[in-house]
Amino acid sequence: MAEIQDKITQLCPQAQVDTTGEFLLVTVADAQWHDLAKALKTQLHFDCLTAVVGMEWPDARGCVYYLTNTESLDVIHVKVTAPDREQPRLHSVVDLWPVANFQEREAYDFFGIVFIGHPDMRRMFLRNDWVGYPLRKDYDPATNPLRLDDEENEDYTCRWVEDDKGQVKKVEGKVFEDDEYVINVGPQHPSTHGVMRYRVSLDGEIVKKIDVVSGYIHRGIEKMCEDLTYPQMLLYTERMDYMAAHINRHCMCLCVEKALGIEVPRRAELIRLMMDELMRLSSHLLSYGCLTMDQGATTAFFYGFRDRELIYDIFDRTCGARMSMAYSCIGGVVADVHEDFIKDVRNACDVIEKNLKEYHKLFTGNVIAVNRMTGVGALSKDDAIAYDITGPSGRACGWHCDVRKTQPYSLYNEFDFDEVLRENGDSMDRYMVRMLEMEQCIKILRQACDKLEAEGAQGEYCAPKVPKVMKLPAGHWYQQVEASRGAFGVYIESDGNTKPVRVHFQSPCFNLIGVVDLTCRDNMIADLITITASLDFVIPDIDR
Amino acid sequence: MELAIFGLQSTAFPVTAALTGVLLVASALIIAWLVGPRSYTKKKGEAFECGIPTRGDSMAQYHVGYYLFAILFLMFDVETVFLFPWATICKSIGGKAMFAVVRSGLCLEERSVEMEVKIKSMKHEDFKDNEYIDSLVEQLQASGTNIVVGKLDQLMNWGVSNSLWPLCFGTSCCAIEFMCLGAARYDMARYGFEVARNSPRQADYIMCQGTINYRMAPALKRLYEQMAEPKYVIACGSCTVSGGPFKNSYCVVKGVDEIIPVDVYLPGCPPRPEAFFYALMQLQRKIKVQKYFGGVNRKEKLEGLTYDGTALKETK
Repeated sequence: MAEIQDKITQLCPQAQVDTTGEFLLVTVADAQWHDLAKALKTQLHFDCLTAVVGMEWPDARGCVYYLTNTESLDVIHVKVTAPDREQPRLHSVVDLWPVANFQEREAYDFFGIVFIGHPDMRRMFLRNDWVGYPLRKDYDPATNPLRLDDEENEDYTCRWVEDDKGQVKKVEGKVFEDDEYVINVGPQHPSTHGVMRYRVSLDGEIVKKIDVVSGYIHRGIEKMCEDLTYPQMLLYTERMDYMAAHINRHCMCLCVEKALGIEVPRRAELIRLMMDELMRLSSHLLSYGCLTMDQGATTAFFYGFRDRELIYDIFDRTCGARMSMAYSCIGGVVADVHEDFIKDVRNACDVIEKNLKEYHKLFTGNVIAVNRMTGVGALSKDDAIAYDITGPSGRACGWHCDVRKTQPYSLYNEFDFDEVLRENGDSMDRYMVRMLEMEQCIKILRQACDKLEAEGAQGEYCAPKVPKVMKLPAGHWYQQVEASRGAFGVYIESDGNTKPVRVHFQSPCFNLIGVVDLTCRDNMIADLITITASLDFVIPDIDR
Repeated sequence: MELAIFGLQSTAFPVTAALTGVLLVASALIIAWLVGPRSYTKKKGEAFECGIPTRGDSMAQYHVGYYLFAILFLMFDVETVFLFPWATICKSIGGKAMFAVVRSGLCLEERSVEMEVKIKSMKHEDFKDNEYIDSLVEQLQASGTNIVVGKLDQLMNWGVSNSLWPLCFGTSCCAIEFMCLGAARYDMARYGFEVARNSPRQADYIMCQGTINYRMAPALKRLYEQMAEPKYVIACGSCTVSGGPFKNSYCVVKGVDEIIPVDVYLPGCPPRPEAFFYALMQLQRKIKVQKYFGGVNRKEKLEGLTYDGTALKETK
């Protein structure tokens, strides 16, 4: 860490480096940012931009960038402030990290930060005739009442370019050319797995370009969190990626516990871990069911859902709900597991393990599945890192990105399991990684059952000393976990009060839509459905 | 041609076929025109474009190969072709038998028709917690019902309530539970609900699953208007009932009843599959007391548009 710090001060003497937090925090002004970013990428090998968080401080607006070195696994946070608070402008880093494309559009949408050099500066989630920027502290919700008139299509886009003298001007451009044949898919379309909308430019049956239009389920969770206390906030984590409800909630709990220094009992952590793995299993089964159904294998869908009911039964008996369980709380879990928990989990493991073999027989070797998935929508490892595609989709390209292995949290250190990796990064590999990961989930669950048995039938499931009023120490707090679809992160900026200043959820699915254009280009329009199904995103997790 | 296999003269066959065809279509259209509730709006006339407004001319040129494919597809889809063989044996079973079939269907008994909500395997006593439906039934009974019309209404309602086709409209969490409903354990096919349609033209009701935000609201409104009458809405989950946990958000609609009329409210976050069934049964109960004949349902006119029998016109 000291090495990086020295190097950064050498590269950019104006930068302030703060080592007091968990991660190195570098603060620079916008004037030095692009040069520093270039040096960080080329010289210090920070090749992965994990997130761009738009921020508003009392004296400035700007962004916090999280950078990861995929070899040494170092993480640094860079805080960049814009010179003008009312009309904030920053230099874009899309040329260095393509993932910044959508991330910066999000910051523009929420805070009105204009990125100079960004190729496509449009709104991301809100209606394109929206007035104002909702995450600014002075935003008045009355300026945008509910409207039922149709939204204008966004045919025009704009770029902000800087000439040699430092003058910034706006340049208009078109999203699609006039002679392009553009068809619309969504928002109400069964194959988009929710309310996603693509505008697809076609040449015959070949996809030439895809414009992703998101935001049909944007609910403003990050803004609402600013008005809630930390235990209240947990509610929303489960409603973003509802197929990773336990895992997201676990992440938020870990983040707050880390900030408050709460020690969680081992039994609680073990139960949380088991719930996470059950959730992952259920999520991958759903992904299997939907992917197969999109290719016409309806029977396989029924099989996938049959097994998920076993897992739902376990959730139902322990947490009292099938979905949105609200089980983890800060300090542990809200109640102990039900008396037959271990027996039920073992049974579910046995049944699903047996059925997985059947699924492979039913679908994996099927000639239609092989022809439609092998070699289709391939993503290279470099692209996966550049677009920060984590989770099963990233591992299908051969990138070691499992947070359970790279930055072990909870009790994952104690477990013996493999990180499933494939090489081609096509739809088939993404599918296979999920199928093989389910076997690893079962392996982890069996070990966890043994460990939980060794703990005894009952025990301490929640930390005894959890403060009633939680005030996070001032500063920023960050925690990452491996959700079903990739690395999920929670970023909290606190000023020492009971409510946070800013909460950002780094969602894995948001990055996945960034590669829809890349992977579908030059494939058939019918493959759009297979590719997006194999990427397996959950739309509310994208829109938040 | 060897038309003798049908037992018909070579000249009589094409005439009979043509007449049957014309009569079938004509009678279906006439009955639908007389009985069917309908609404006319500008949005309804538009081409279905996944919920957003259609742009430009939808008459695009395709490769001729696609048309051949479409025709082949259609040929398999026309299952009604089996009606013709039945029609050919109609003569041998005699007119009396056909009349008997029709008569038993109409059940012409000499007593007044009692409107009540009947759902197989569920007694009214077990299911009487819906005051709204009970008051609706009372109201209808008070006005009195013609025997024939009442029976015809019952026939229609029996058909409509047992083949409710939902529109695939899931925005978030509730949609997953709805998928569980379609899967093996809960199996909504038992009630005739399973044919989830992707186009609003073919759907009977929207089960609105998940939060509706400001960007989605015009699309939902459009989808609702593009549905054919009779149409129903179930607001499923807290978000659609009232905005739920997202009530304080800057871009969430506080209940879908702000946009479209709702028939059944189904709370829960998300509701359990059993609750889905309960909501669907409530909808069935509501449908069972509907009146089709007499044009009672044909009153919906929206956005200052009137239909003069041939075209939509804007009223000022």
